[in-house]
Amino acid sequence: MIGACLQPLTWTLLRIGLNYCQSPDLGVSPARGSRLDFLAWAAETVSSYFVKFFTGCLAARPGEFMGRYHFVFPRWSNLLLPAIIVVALTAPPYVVFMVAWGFSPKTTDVGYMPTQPVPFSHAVHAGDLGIDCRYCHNTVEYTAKASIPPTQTCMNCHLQVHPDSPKLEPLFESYETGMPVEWIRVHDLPDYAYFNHAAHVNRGVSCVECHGRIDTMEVVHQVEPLSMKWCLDCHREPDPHLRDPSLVTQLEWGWAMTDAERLAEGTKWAEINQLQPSQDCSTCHR
Amino acid sequence: MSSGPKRQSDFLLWKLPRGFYYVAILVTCAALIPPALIIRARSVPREARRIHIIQNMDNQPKYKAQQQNILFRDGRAMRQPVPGTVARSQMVGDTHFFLGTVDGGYATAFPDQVTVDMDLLERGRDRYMIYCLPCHGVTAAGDGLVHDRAMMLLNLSPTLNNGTTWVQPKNLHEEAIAEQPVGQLFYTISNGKNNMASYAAQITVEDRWAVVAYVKALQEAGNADASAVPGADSLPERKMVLDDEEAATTTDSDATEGAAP
Repeated sequence: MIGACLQPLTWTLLRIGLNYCQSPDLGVSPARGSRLDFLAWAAETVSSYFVKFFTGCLAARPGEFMGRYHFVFPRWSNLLLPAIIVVALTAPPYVVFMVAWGFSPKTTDVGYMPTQPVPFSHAVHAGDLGIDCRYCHNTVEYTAKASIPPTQTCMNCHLQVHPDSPKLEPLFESYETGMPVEWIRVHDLPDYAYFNHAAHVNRGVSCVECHGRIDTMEVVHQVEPLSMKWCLDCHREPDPHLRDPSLVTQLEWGWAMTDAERLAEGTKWAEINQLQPSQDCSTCHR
Repeated sequence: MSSGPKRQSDFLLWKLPRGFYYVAILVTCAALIPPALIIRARSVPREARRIHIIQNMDNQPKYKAQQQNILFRDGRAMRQPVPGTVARSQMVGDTHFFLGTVDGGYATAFPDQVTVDMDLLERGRDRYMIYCLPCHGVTAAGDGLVHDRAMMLLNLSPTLNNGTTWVQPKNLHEEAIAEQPVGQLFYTISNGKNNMASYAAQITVEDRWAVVAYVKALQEAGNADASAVPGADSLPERKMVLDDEEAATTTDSDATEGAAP
């Protein structure tokens, strides 16, 4: 079957090769160094390779259809059929799997950890010093955005603490000139998805559910995929992610609980706050 | 095809040309590169920007909060209000509520907009724990964790602490502060004092009054006499003699009986 398909093609290639190699009618003897000279040389090299490669395939049968040589497929070409079947069965699933796995937000988005202009450590400020998230991100309870604090918030302490630090140079420059520090955004949702921080925080969805243990991170990185499936998973099964709204900034809360205790706590607060997260398209895309 | 294998062993003896094996090995190795890259991307934090192959709804021609807009000299997409702008919520016709002053002096009572009740105190405690606790500490004694760290930095050489200077935050139970009228506390939170910055941008007016109420309650509790505790006279007297283990482990009633004669 394969032979029937491949034979005309192979014949053609072979005829071209053999002509260049062996035909006395090549005729012209082009000038050395000209383009024709090179083409002739290239054709001869390539065709001689073909000839060598298919030496075993050529049976001398003078007077037959092809002239001097009759092309016969070597015995090993039968092994190509199972090989092609194997490739045909493995290659498409391989490609599909690699695309699904490799372009998943868990691969492309999770772990994004840019270097910020100031090496601000959440582990020191939110972890060691126990400063509440809302000391700096104070708009989170009222607005859709948990804003990056203005430089003044940093200077509440850093006018006195580390006032000469070279690491804080961009901060002091910003304080003097009034130009913003160019922080690099880590958690970035699609523009067409309208997420509201206040709606979540005030209903008992902790910062940690989306941002992870920020209070242990020296450099903030993304830990959740923030994909649409991931959003919907929580909107369909919110209970394991809910807690007392007054504890949303206690990132370590619940670490000693078993899963069952944690779920019971979430269910309790879902009932208290009467939460039924919407799954309509227009909830987020409007 | 007519010259096909007659026996299975013949079939297996047909060897492919070497080139096929080389190509097969190369292709197999190349096929391992994508999973290796993916596993690396999934396990190692990286600095490179995210790559979205299919940018579903990623980009809308608009500016989001705190984004960059190079049209303006300061690079902000969000514009600053024109100097002198006063938002409606910032109108200070009512100096008592917005500034904490009455007729040029500090207000001695809470404004009419604020009802001092348990809800206000709870709200005040909540806000105090966010904005005041880092420096003033949980009991308002001026011993917050930021103060602890600053004291630790002061013990380092100036090259290590980058010229840190620090004055201990006020103990709010000091007599001079405990006697301040509520208007003065509100004024201090709103405008700052000495090394303390203004918290007007971080705490809303209503919440600042709530914090004042909570601080007043803290001061009241910190300077209160034991008899101010409801039902104090009916509580058992408790004595602890730390040197004497036996006395320390005895119950309260035993201790009082033993102490009586």
